[in-house]
Amino acid sequence: MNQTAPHTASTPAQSPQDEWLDTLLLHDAQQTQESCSDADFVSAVMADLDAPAKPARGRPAYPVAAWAYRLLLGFEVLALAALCLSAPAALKAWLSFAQSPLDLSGLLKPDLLGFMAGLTLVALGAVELAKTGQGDFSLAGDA
Amino acid sequence: MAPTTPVQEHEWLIQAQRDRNPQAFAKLVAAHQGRVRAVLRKLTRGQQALADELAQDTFIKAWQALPGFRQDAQWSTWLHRIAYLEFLQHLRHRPMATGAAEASPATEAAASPAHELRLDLEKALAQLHPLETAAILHCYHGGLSHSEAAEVLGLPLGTLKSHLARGRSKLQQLLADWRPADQP
Repeated sequence: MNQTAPHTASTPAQSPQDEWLDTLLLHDAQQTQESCSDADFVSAVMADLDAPAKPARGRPAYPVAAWAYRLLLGFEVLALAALCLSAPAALKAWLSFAQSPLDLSGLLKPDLLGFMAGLTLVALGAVELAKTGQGDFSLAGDA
Repeated sequence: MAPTTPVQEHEWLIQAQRDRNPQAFAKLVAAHQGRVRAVLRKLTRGQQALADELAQDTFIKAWQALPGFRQDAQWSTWLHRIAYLEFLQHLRHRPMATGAAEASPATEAAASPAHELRLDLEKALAQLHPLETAAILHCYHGGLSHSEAAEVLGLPLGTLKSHLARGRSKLQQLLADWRPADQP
């Protein structure tokens, strides 16, 4: 173990008054490192090496790529915009149906059906986004 | 365990990366587990089981990402970066309790100076800014240089040095009882 004070050539050494803290920290570091070195840990890592990746703590059980997350987010934005644009026509169709509720064919108007389908898709997408959250998906890859 | 040389480590790294040799990777794990686990144990404020779980995930991710590892970076820096990101990811979902670290009953029972120092240090580190703590731990417990620690924490070198200096200054006050009597 390299137990020297972590100063580089580009940084001045601490004053002699500060050396006691270096000694203290390095002593604790050495003690901790020694207590953290055991063959059982290596065996445990090697046993899990080729196991499928564990889902991240608190994350959904399926891997989500960053691009998939952004794609869904983009879709949500577009779908919301489309919903806003089609809302007046859907409202008109709904009011028309409300005036004569016995005429069920009013529910089958494309404006109303399209709006309801869009609303359902946006709601489902929002639930998926909420479950996934924005995480760091490329931990090891960009290190 | 016998200390390893950089040349040996480089050979193991090549074998693990190019040949996907698990035995070579096991040697790398054995050589680096002490520092990685020590830093994580301190970052998690002495939660041994959690620190070991994070360390295990770190090495498994390192193995999986090893084919993409570029040799222009230091392996130890890369490894510590993965470990630190693992810790941050854990923290995002389960923030650490604020305040001083609590000692386990087993730790309290062993009231040797080394254990007392460990407890006092954990309490003091818990009072620092998280980046000051991380800077100190990576430089001392991780054995990294300033520039390597800056790379791990994703900070400019000057910022890392500032955090380190502020952290040291606070520790000097918090750990004043441990100052030797002959020091001013």
